[in-house]
Amino acid sequence: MTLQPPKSNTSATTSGCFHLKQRNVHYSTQHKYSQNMEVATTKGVLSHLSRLEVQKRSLKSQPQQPGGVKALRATVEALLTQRDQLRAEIQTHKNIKKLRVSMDKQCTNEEEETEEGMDEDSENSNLLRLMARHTQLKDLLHAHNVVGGYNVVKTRQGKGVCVSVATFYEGVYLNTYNLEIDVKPTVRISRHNVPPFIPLNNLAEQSNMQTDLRTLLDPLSQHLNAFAGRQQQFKFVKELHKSVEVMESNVLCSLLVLKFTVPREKTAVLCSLDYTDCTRSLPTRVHFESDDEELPESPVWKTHCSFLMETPVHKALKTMRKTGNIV
Amino acid sequence: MTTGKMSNENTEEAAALQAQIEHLQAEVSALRRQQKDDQKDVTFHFRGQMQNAMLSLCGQRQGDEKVLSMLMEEVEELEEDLKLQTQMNGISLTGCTTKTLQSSGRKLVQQLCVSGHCSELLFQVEFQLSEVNEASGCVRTISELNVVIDAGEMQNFSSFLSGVEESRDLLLFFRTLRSFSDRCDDRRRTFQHFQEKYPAVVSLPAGCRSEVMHLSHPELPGCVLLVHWSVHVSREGGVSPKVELLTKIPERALQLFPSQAVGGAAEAFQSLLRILGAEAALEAVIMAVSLS
Repeated sequence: MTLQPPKSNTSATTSGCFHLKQRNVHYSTQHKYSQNMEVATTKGVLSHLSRLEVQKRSLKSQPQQPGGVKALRATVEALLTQRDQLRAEIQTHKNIKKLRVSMDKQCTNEEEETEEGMDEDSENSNLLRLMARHTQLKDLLHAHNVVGGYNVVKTRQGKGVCVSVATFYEGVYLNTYNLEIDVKPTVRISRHNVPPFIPLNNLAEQSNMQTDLRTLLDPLSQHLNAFAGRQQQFKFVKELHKSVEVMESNVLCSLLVLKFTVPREKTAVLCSLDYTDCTRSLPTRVHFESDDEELPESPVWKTHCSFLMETPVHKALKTMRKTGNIV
Repeated sequence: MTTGKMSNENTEEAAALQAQIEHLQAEVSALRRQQKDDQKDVTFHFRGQMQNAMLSLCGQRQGDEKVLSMLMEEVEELEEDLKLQTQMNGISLTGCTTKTLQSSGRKLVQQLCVSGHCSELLFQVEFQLSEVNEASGCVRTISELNVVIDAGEMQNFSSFLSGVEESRDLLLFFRTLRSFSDRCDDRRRTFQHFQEKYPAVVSLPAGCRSEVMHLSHPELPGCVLLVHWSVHVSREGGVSPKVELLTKIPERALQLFPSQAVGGAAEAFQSLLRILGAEAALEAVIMAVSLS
């Protein structure tokens, strides 16, 4: 099994299935269509009204009143049609919503199938039910995406798939990493934009990807999310704690060396955080060094040590500064 | 009828019609506002085939049969897609209700309630999802996460769940749930395998999904070796199986056989576990118990 290096880091512009990632359109972009939809339903009426306007102008030479009344009657007709259309649409909307609520309840086994007194004939009620099911499916697919699903898309008539691994930290959705995978004749990663310091090759070798792709994707997701967590923590340290100097860090975010200043004595303490377990976003080792040799052994600093082992570093620093232990 | 009279009637009619027009225009505006409000809920904002179906139901489009079949085709595609996502993601979502709390040009806030199951573990999560269009792109965030899982598994998960609700890590919840479910499936498969292979020695009094497997020789029913296979979930979401061997041997038996082998079985098993792995180690113990 071979892996090709990623073509570029900005995957969005490369051809192939990366465009398909746009498939799960964010709902906010759908919002742009609200104005267009309004136009679509009233287009017929508006064009009719403008025709009437033209007609009215061309009748200027003729005695206005008879022509005027005709035009007014036509306008009333047009408005009546428009009003009835809107009423029908709003009512249909209501019916679909009601159907959907009862369908949701059926899915969670809360109630038996009941017809909520729909007066529609059977053909219309079939269409209504189909529409309600459509909304349900869209919502379920959206949910799969939102909870961190792999957004799998079949490509090349079933010869390949595209998957995307979502990363997330402290309530914010971060980068998504994409993989194009050949499925026939064997399962093989063909393209991806996973950073090189993530051991994708190793994970693929250790997985059962020929029979179950999730044995690759789950560990990969774990690595990528742990990395994203560490990366965010380092970013927050730099942004929120300017009084703490970052002496060293690396691309994989597996090492962080910080310089604290103890307020009263103005002593400097060097704090090294090692993150040797790449599947975690908390350190495996915290070590203090100071000119004052007794300081790291003091109970206060032993507490800091275990605190930093259990708490994301940017949050730990916030507490340590608040309690006046460091500047 | 003279022209004068006609013009008077025409003027009256014109005035009446004008009034009617104004009234209708006001009605139409009100209806349009209501429709716009209805469409703020993204789920019920229809486009494409759904839009065609809507117009067909409201009498504006001809060709009803075509509309039904085209929508049916689209629904079938969505059903297939859902099956694919379910299989790939290892979780089954049975319900998702959304409520749009805020919807403006740049920002969309929804309240989602998602329920389903992962293998046999039931869950329900509720959270707020915000999507904001910023210069750098669309930023999605989660807030106010609330997680409920099947009561039976609560004690395993309680510290993890409180951590996840605090950090709003919806995705970690699902990764961990899946991982936990996979490890439980490993256990179930292994227990079932051994019960089928060594029915005289192996019993599962609490069923194949339980944490405990009993081993005993049929002629020595009082002497039981218990295999306790638990799956731990750390606060961070780390899932780790732990297999232990416990002995339930009456005092009298221990006195008759004061060998280290019986008394120290638990520790010996841990060494075996480290060398051979769970399945091979268990098989070795079973072989020993069956005295074959």
